[in-house]
Formats: sequence, C-alpha cells, structure tokens
Amino acid sequence: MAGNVPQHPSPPATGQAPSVQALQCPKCAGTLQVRGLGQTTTIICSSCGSVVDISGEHRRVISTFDARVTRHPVIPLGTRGTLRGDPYEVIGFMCRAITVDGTDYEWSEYLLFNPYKGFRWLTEYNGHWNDAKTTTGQPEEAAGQTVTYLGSTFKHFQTAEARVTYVLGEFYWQVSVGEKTQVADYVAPPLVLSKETVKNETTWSLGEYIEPDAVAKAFGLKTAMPTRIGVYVNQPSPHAAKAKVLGKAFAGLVASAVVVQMASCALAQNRKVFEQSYTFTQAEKGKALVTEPFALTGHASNVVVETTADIENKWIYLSMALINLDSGQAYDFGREVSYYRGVEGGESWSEGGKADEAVLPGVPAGQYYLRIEPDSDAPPVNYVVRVYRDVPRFWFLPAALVALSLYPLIFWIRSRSFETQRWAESDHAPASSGDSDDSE
Amino acid sequence: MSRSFACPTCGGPNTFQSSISILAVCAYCRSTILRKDLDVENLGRMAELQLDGSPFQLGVQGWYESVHFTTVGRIQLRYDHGLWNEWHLLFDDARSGWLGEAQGTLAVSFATPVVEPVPPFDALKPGQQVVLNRRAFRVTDVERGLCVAGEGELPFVIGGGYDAPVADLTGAGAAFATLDYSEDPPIVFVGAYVEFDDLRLSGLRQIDGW
Repeated sequence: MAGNVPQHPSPPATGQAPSVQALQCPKCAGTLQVRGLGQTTTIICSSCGSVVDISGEHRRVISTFDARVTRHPVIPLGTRGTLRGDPYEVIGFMCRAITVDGTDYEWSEYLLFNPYKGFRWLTEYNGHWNDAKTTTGQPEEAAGQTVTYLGSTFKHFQTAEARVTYVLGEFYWQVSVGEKTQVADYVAPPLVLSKETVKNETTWSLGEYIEPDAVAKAFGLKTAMPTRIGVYVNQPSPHAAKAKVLGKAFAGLVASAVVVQMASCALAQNRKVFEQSYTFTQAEKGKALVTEPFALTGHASNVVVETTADIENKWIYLSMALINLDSGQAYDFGREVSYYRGVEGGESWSEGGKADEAVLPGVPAGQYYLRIEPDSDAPPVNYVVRVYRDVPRFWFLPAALVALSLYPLIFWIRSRSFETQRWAESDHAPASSGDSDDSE
Repeated sequence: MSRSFACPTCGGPNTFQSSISILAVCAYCRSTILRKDLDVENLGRMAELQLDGSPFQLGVQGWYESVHFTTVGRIQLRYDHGLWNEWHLLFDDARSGWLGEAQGTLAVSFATPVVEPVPPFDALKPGQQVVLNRRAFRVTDVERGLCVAGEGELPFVIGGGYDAPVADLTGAGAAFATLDYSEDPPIVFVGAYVEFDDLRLSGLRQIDGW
C-alpha cells in the first residue's frame, strides 16, 4: 500500500447505493420502485402493465401485458425475510403455466434478492413450496433419463413447455408475458433439478422442498398459506424419514429374536431321560403297561415323547399318559405310528413314517412315569419309546419374523402409494409405462 | 512488487500493486495512466463507472483455493442482461486473476494458455462443445459486450466504449471458462464458479439498508 501522503485526501469513496430507487414509467409516468440495486434489468409498471427495460441509461418499454389480469402474490413485493441465514427481499413475482392434455397447470415464482448473495427463487404450486437457486455447476445427464449433480441421482419427472402468464416487479432478464421455455424436471426428493432451455441456452436450477410453515415464518406472513393439495414432485415422503427408524427398529427386533432363539437353544437341557423297547402282541391288546419312573428336572419346560416302531404297511396306536408320581397329575395323549408303501403304475409311493414325536409343553419338574396302552391289528410289533426333557424348539424365530414383518409390510404399502401419487402426474405414470420407477 | 507514482494530471499518489498491471485509473481524477519502464504516460480521462449495486469495491479481500487475494482493479461491462464486472485480483502468490460478477453469479478465473485452437467468435453457439487443455466445456453464453469503464489497476489497456466479444463456458463440476475475443488471438480464462460465502470476503461495500 502507499505510504503516508500528507498533502492528499483519501480518494473519493465509492457511492453508496440507496436501497430503493424510484424511476418513472416512460409510458404512464407512474412510479417504478427499483429494489434490485442495478442488478435487475426489467421492471413491470404496476399501473399500466408496461415491461420497462431499465438496464440502459434510457428506459424503454419492451412490451405491455394486460394489466387487468391480476394474480395476488402470497408474499407481497418488498417483503423481507430470512432464508438459509441470509436476508432476502421479494422483488419479482411471476406466474407460469404448462398445458398437459388440455389442462393448464399454473404455478407462482417469487424472485428474491440480496445485494451480496444474489438471487434465489421461491416457487409455489398447490400449496407446495420450493426454495431454488441457479446452479453454478453443470449437472451431468446420464443414461436412462437420469441426471447426476453433487453426488445425487435425479430421475426425470416431466418435460413440458412453460409460458409466462403473469409478471410483477423486477427481473434480471428481459421477461415478457407469453415467453416460452422448455422445462425438464428431475427429482431426488427433497431436491428437484430443473433444466430450462430457451433457444440454445440452458439454465439449471436446484430446488429444495420447503414446508409452507417455514416460508410463512421466514417472511413473517400473517395470512393463511395456500392449502396443500396432493403430493408434489419432490415432496419428501413422510415415510422416508420413518423408514430409517423403522429399519433400525426392525433390525434390532430381529436381532433380539435371534438372540432369544439362540439362548433358548444353548440353555436347553436337551436330555434323554427314558428309553425302553417293547413288543406288542395281540395277546396284550387292551392292556396298559406302565414304565419305570424317571426324573424331570429344571424349570417347567417341554417333554418330547418319541415313538419309533418297526412297521411296514401296518399301524400301531398308542394311548399314552405322562403321570406325576407324587401328585397323580396326568398328561393324556394318543399317538399313531403308521407306515405304508407300495408300487402303483410303476411308481413307488409311501405314506406315514416309522417314527412319531409328541411334544408336551410346560411340564414341571418331578418324578414321572408313562402309562402306555398300545393297539394294533397286526402281528407282533416292536417299538421303542424315548422321553426327552427340555428340547430346543425352532418355531420361535420364524414366528417372530412373520409377526415383526407385519408392520413394515403395511408401511411399505403406504410408502409405495405415496410414491405412486408422486409419479402419477409425471411423464412416467405407472399406468402408461411398464413401471421402472420403483423407489429405493 | 508494488511501485508508487504520482498522477501526471493531478499529482495524486497512486500505486501499481501488481507487477503484471500496466494500466491504472487515478483514484482522484480518473486519468488513465499507462505504465512505462521508468515513467508513466497519461492516456486521458477514463469514462465514468455506472452505479450497479455491486457489493464489491477496490480493496476487498478474500480467499480462493486457500490463497488470499485483494481486488486491485475492475472492468465494468455492459451486455444484453445488464451490467457485469470483472474484478482484477492480486493473489498473495503474485498471480493475477479475475472475479467475474454478473447478476449475483461469481466465477474466479485465470488467463491460461491452451494447446487447442480456439474457435472464432462468429462460429460460437450456445451448447457447443469446446475443448480447453483436454477438458470439455460447453458454451453457455455468447455476448457482444461493451466496456463501460475501469478503475484501479489492470493488466491491459482498456477504454470506455471498447467492444468486448466474449463467451462463457461451463464444464464438469463447477468448471468455468471465458473466451475473450477483444484481443487476437483470443485470451482464454479458466477457473470455477464460486459461492459468495466460500470466498470469505471482507472490506465489501456497505449497502444502505442491508
């Protein structure tokens, strides 16, 4: 820097710009309030509808629109608010529309200005708001109608021709009513990338869904916000946030179920407490036999009575009771072991089996014996009875999984219906295409 | 290395802060002064800058890619979309760069020699691909700008009313380039779009009401 220079004053300071500049409309002499501090080029006269070029030293009318047509911005021009920590002033308002299948869809755009941070937009359609800014980077158009930008992949939603239907305030380009732009939207909720093409010039903007309450709060709006209708293109699914929590909870519960299953298996005694072979003959028909007593130990748990019989094309029926030696409490059950096989039409077949297993749950500890009353119409049958205490069972885990999956399933159906609503208005509505729009 | 001199018109003390600068606009009387080996030459009065609401001014400091810079000069241009500024940056590592400022969009770039031939101005179309030092860029904007005025110190001679045919290009990520056809062969500037907050600026102009 220059050293001390006594004889000269400091250089003249750069002029300070006033925050609002008042100009006169060249057509109707009405007052034009310019808020863009030299960064805007076009202003619309609110009294006569003239679109005035203020970029040059001489103001001139570029076009005129029908001033009788009116739309009422939810956020009035000149309102200041705070977005993303910076103050912004609403300086322009425009409405644009697309026509799909003969129906017009119109939305509003608010141009926001901060002399340091530049411009950004708030857009509103059917009560859904987006906070958008022109991208500085260049999104990359990838295969399959997707676009990648800043690490996110955006899916093509819709391409349509948008036309300006209403303008108010000032803009940084020469806006005119009827001006047509090719707009392609790509979504990655809560973000939306919009590609706007006029002639050969392409501009990308990145929008983020913003809750109506957040807009009202940012601009201190007292009036009611437009009611939200339907699901918007980049509206974050209320289910998406829950999905993570739900996923974690589900994983946690499944893990617990696995632990419970493993623990019950590891801690089970799984002990054979009785085994005896018998032979049934017709002479014993109708007679009951009792076994030697055996001890069942530990907490009340299951008892598995396994019967294997050496049979073929025969049956044996065992009417059994597990009886507590002290209290006389009996667990009655009847089991049949039958096994048939043969060859029919060259194919061999079989039915039944040579073994049977009966499970008696929750049997308390104590001294027990079995009373067995066999019956069969066959000649002598050899059979073996084995008793096991506290046998691990494996039904718990599958049952727990089925039960645990119920809520996630309902959740998935709901979440899917939200996505179906989202895509219903896109160029890729499931009905018209083969549906390749599965989310996640 | 900075060099101080007295304005040949008004005697005001001025400094060339960058050794790359050859032109200075006197901060007191707006005389345009050409730097000579031993002396300076008065080229006449510079045109007036237009009030453009820019938050920048001479002496603004900031950081780009971890190198500190100061704005030492400015060229104000007019194009179809209004006014736009090119701020001459002097980096602490003695590099000279540019901060382009238009409608709140900022880009930092540096004059860069390129190996490929640059297409002529009249052949440029928005959307067209141009390869600069083996990197692909796409033309976004082709403008016949007009130099309005300058201030501070600049690495080349400018004057109000001079033509400034330029094209802006973007590349992968936030890559940015400008082709400046006001000289022949055209000068290529390569850099990146930047966010206001990322430059960590200080010494900005105070704007009334903001």
